[in-house]
Amino acid sequence: MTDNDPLFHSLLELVRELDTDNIPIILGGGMSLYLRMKYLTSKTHRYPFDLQIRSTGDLDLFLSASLISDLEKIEGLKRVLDRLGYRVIPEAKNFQFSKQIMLYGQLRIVRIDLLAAPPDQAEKRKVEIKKPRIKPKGAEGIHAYLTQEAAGIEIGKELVDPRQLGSDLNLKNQILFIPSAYNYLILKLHAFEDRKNRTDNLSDSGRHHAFDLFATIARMREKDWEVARQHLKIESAQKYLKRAIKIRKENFSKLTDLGLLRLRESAMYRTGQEIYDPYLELLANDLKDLFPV
Amino acid sequence: MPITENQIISRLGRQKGLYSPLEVLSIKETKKSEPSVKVAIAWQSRRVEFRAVVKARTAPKLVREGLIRLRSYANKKKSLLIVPYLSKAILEMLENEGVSGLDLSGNYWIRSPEIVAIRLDQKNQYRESQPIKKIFSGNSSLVGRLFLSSKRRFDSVNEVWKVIKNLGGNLSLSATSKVLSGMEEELMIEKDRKGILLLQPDKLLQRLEEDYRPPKVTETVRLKIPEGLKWFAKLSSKPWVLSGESSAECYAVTTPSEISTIYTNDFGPFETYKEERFYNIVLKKTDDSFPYFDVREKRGIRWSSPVQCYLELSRLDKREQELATSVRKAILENLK
Repeated sequence: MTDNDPLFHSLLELVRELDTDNIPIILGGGMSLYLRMKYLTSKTHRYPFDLQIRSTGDLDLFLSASLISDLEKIEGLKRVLDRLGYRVIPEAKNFQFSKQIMLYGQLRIVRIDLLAAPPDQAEKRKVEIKKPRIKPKGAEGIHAYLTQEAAGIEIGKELVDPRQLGSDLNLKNQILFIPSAYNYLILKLHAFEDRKNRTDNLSDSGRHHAFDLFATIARMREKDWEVARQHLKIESAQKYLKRAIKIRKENFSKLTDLGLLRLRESAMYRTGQEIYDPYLELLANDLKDLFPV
Repeated sequence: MPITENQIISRLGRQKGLYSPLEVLSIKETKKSEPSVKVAIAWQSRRVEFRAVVKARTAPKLVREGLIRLRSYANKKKSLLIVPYLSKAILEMLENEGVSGLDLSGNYWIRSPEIVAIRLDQKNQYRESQPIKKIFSGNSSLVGRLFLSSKRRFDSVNEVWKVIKNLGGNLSLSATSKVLSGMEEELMIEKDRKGILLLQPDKLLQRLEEDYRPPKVTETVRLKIPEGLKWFAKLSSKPWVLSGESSAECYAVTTPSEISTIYTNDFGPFETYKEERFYNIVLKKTDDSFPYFDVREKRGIRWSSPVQCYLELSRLDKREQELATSVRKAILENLK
C-alpha cells in the first residue's frame, strides 16, 4: 500500500466500518484482481512473468445470497455507506454509491457498486426482485444488481486479512473475501460474452476481460486448481456454469478464436507480447481443462 | 500552390456540367456593393441570382469571416458561400446561418425560395496544403498543452513562447507563432489587444487527442530496481518523467502501477539494472520535448502533465479509457 492510494484507503475504511456490524463482502472487479495479483499470489513456474493489473475508481462488492436476503444486515450496510459519506448515484439509483475524496489536493470520486448472487429457494421469499434489482423485503434506499453468473460466488471464496495487504487493521470478524480464481473466470467469461461485439470505448470489445482471464489463469496456484475442480464437480449441472463452458469453447479454443484475438489486441497484452506469446497455447489448454465440454 | 479567390471565380465561370443538372449560368464581380460576387444558378426552368462571398481556404475562422460578410446582405435566402470544398463543419455553419453553399468539387447546398438542391457526395478535389497541419502533434502540440495547463491570458506570442520554455518545452518562437495562428484560424483561441485567450478547451483537447502520436522512442530497456520509483526520486540531475499512463494514479482514482514506464533522454546510470523478465521499470529513451513538458513533481516523483496522462490513457484499454475520462474532466474543470 502506498501513501497515495485512495482506492485502497477507501476499501480499508469501508471494511473497518463493516466489521463493527459483522457484514461480510466479497470484493470483485479490478480491485479484487489487483489484490490477488499484488498481495495474495506470486508468479508461478507455469507462467513465469509479471502482469500489470489496474483498477478503476470503483469497488465492486458482491453480496452473498444469504446477505442480500437479510434485511437487518442490508440496512446495516446502508448505514455504513451513509456514515462514510457515500451518496446514491442518481443514474444507478440505490445500487451505485459515490463519494468525493482528495487526491494530491484534487477532488476525485470513489464509487461502490453493489452486486448480488441469486438467492436459493429458501431465501427467495425474503427478497424482492425487480430485475435487475434485488433487495430484502422492507429495505429502503438500497438494493443490489442481481448477477446470475455469481450463483456460485461463495464456493472457494478466499478470506483476506488486511494485514496481508500491508495494513495494520485488525478485524474482529471474517468479513473481507475475494472470489475464488474459478469464480473470477466464470464472471469474466460472461462479461466477455456480453462485450465482445460492442465497439463503444467503454466496452472495448471485451479486450480487458480477455486480459483479466489471462492474468487470473497465469496466477492460479495449485490450491486454486483444486478449488476449481471441486466447483466444477458440484455445480456442473448449473446453468451459469454450462454457459461459461459454452463461451469458453466458442471463444478460447484456438488461437484464431475471438477471445484469444481480443486478448492479443489488448493494449496491456501488447506491452509484453514477446513474453506472453509463447504461453497462449498453454492458456487455451488450461481454459479447456477448467471448462471442459 | 493554394488556389486563390480569383482563380475560384474564374474556374466556376468555366465549369460545364460539374453540377449537372444544376447549372452555374454566370459569375461576376461587382465593385459596387457587398457581397461583391453575383452568381446566377439554374435548375431546369428555375433560375436564381445569389450574392456570394468566395473563400479560398476552409479554416473555420476564414469561413466565419465570409459568413459575417454575407450577413451584410439583407436577403439571406439568396446568399451563397463559395469554397473549394464544403466540409461537414462548413455545412453546419451554413445551416446555422441559413445561407447556401457551393464548392469547386461539385457539391452544393442550395436552399433558396426558387431552388432547393443538395448534393454532397463529391470528393474533395482541392485538398489544402494546410499551414495549420500538425499543430496538435509532436512538439508543436506544446502550445495547445500550455493553454490547457491553467486558465490564463497571455500578453503576447513572446510570452507564450517563454512560458513553454519555462515549463520544459522546446519550440522556436516562429513555430509558436505559426501554431497560434493555426489555433486562431480554428477558433480555439482569441488574439486581440487584451492578449491571447483560450476559447474552446474541449475542442482543443479533442484535437490534441486526434493528432496525438506517442514520443519517438529510440531505445527501450527493462529494469529491476528494488526501490522502484523512490530510487529515481534521488536522481535529481537526470532528466526523467513517468509516462502519461504510469502517471494515472496522480490524476485519477486507481491502483498504483506495478510496472512503471519512464521517459528519459539519458540512459547513463540505469543500464546496470537490466532485467528482461521480472522488471518493474520500463525505461524509454526519447528526445521529444513534449513528454517532459509541464511535469508535476510531487514527493520527488516526476509525474507527466495531466494532458500527457490523458492522451496516453485514452489510447489504451477500457479501464485506462475510464481513467482518461476522469482526467479529461479534471483538466476541463480546472479551466472554468
